[in-house]
Amino acid sequence: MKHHENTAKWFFLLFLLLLGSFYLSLITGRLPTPLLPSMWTGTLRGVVYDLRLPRIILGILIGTGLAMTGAVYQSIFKNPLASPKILGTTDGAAVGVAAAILWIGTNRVLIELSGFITGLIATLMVLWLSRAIKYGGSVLRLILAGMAVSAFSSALIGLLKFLADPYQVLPTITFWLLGSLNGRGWRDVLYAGPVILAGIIAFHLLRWRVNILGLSDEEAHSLGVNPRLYRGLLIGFGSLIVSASTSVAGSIAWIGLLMPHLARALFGADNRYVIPGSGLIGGIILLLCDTYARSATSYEIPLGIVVSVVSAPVFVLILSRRSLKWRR
Amino acid sequence: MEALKLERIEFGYEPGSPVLSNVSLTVKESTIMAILGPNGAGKSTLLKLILGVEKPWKGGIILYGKPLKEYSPRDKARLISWVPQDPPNIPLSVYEYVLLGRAPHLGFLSTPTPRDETIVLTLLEEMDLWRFHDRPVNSLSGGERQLVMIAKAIAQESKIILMDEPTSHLDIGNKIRVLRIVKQLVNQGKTIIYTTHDPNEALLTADNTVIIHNGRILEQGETNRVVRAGNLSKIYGVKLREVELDSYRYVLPQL
Repeated sequence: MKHHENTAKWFFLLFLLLLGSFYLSLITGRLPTPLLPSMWTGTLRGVVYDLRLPRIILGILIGTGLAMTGAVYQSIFKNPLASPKILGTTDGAAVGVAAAILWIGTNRVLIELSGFITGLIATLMVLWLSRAIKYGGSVLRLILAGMAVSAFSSALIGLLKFLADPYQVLPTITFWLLGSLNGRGWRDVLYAGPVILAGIIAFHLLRWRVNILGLSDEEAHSLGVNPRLYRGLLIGFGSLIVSASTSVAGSIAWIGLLMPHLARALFGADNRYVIPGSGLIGGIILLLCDTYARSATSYEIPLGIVVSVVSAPVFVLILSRRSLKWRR
Repeated sequence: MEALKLERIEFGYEPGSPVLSNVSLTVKESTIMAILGPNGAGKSTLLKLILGVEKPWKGGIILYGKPLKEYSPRDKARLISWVPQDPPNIPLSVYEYVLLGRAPHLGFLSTPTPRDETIVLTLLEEMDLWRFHDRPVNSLSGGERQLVMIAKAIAQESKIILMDEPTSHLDIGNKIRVLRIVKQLVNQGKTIIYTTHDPNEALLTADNTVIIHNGRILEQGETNRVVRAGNLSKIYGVKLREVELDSYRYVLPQL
């Protein structure tokens, strides 16, 4: 029971790291910040509580939500390379964001709402299309339908960019989609927070049953689990998280793909630990990346770029480990 | 007592081309039923119908006196467990995989309790599987995986265990180990229904045998009466003969 003995220790350590990152992020920024909260007064108080804190909360929620979605999708699609993008939700949400920036303008509520809705529509289209596809089993059909909807959405995004005014609107669309938490505040936390949090709680409660969906549909049936029903439920919560995250923060790749692998390296393959573990690691990494993105230089680096720069080498490192126990 | 009854079942995957036609059979409690037939005869499909994964076009399945379709998935899983033909290709450890057998005894959002964990630990020790409890299921040998899948079915504490060709990938040592476990399980009160294409396995273990060919039942009844070289020669289209040794009968090929 090697993993079980160390599980509590690792979770404790990850919690400490999250708290540490939280504090580090609060005191890091272009405005020098004293270590003690009692010394945060005047403008600084506003900067910490109204600018940094909501970004920190959003960063943790989005990182946790995307990483947990990745862990769940990798299990239910029986594919270690599955990520939250696999069902076309991310690209679908990006279409809504781009369309709203182009036609509605700078109203952030409408941009985010539009992205959220098109993300969900894209997922529903994938579910509907997967019934029409006759090739492969039910899991492969979902993946193929996701590819088709993603490709279509990407084409739409290209078209919207082509139509956009290249000096004003096009840069806005491009920067939004590169992924960023720049300028996000309490209003965004209130809008996206509850949706993402609901998904996180649902994934946490269902985490053990996700193991069963990694088996064949017959075996899941024999354990009293209707695989289609559970898969639908988990995809539903996943697309809520991904739509809300993408509409608020743009397209953030890698977190959903990579964090489950890091969690598996610590906890083994049991989703009882992998799902919450991925969530914690995802929250920490996204928070640290965002802190770097907003404070490393005098201008904001898009968060999506920072995450990718950090993640790509880690990904290669993980895949080159011999202990990667997923053989397909 | 009748554990399971199938009444004039008809089923197929494509409309108009049934895989099983007019299949009726009865399985008594605490007995072993072998479903014998060549590859592609419809044996695995029959198990899927009993499991409730597929619904019959016609006919009914009665489980302990009640139609199968009236059971909730969870209640059904408390009565019937399943040992698949293909082992799962997942990196879960043996312990974590066998623990999944406790799912029908847990609530919708529950995780295994210490009691469930104790049941699985004891079972793994009893079956001498504890020594590789920490190894990923997909790193085990064929025989070890088969035993682990049976352990998961036992952890489920169901009355009926369905096994889809439980010995087809095994060497003779593991084959005998698995058949011994099957016999022990029946002595403990379980009902076993398994598919096989080896008539000697049925002769060694099964109380009753059903011979399926081209989706229809050719013969059924007591194994000694049903599994005869003559019947089997017709199905397989080859010459077979019977040999008796130490009061056991065997069917052997004749070249």
